[in-house]
Amino acid sequence: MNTIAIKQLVDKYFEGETSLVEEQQLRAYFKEGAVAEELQEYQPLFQYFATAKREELPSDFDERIVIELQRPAKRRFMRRMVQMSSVAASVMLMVAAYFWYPTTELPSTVSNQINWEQYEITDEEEAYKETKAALKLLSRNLNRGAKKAAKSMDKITKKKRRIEN
Amino acid sequence: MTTNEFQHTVAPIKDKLYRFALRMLDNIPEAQDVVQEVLIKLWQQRERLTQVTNVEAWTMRMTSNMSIDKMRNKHWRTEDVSGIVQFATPASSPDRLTEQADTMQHISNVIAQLPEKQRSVMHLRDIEGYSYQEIEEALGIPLNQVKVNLFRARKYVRTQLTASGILNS
Repeated sequence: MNTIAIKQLVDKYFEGETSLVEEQQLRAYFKEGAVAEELQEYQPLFQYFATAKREELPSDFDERIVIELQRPAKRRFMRRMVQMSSVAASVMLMVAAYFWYPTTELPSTVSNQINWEQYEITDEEEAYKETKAALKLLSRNLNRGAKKAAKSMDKITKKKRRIEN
Repeated sequence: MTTNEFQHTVAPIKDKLYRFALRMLDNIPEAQDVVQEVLIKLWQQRERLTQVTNVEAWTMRMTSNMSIDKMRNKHWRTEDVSGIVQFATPASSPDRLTEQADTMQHISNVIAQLPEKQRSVMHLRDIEGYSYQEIEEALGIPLNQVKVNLFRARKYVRTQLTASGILNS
């Protein structure tokens, strides 16, 4: 193909009007060493495309994938073991607590002396305010917990990444 | 399906997925992670593989979505990827090689600056040699948008390469 035809194809390419076949012609032309001087400015772009197409995954990627594909079965087993251990530990704690926790009862005289009814809120607006304040406190503490969890997750992710790299 | 059969099925596409993720993320470890996640997902849905008519387009779409998620959900950091594109011409002097490598890196940077859709379309067309219809299927965008994005991407690249003196016109 002559220089003028290639130049026309290049212009057509930048207009987004070339067909796949024409683009292949351009790639083939710029791949060869004998590029006309007035067209040499376009060579790096087409050579970049050709070079980028040769990028491949590292050779050990397949092995890593096979390990990953086989991992879920192991992971499921481990997760079940952890769950069972947690349940067993909780039961043991409850049993231990039942036997060892000192049973302290308030003397009946103390509870009789306090008239709890006087602290009960009867006003609707006050009740609403108290509930709102309680929920606000709960929300604040929950958020604090979530933030700490997010921070820990972030740390773990960073460490994991460092180890992997 | 055994892992061997699975590997055989994905062998022709895994490098394409990697290149695509790499172009989207501009980061080697992240691109490898995306391909790994895509292949694991594919393995988990391997029973559906026989029903999928175009596995390549399907996995390419998964790669695109996962790369976009990664870009958006993370504190994005870009690592230096110089060295990915190795450009060498036989019988060139060392100075000429350095100059050519710089030019290649510059082109890579210009393409990395494109908006994600333009970059994806340009990659699939100019590097992988996809047809418009294949790009439409892989990215899930209408044909006219494929053409518009490709036109804009090429126009931007031409303008930038002209501004940096690589192109004269």
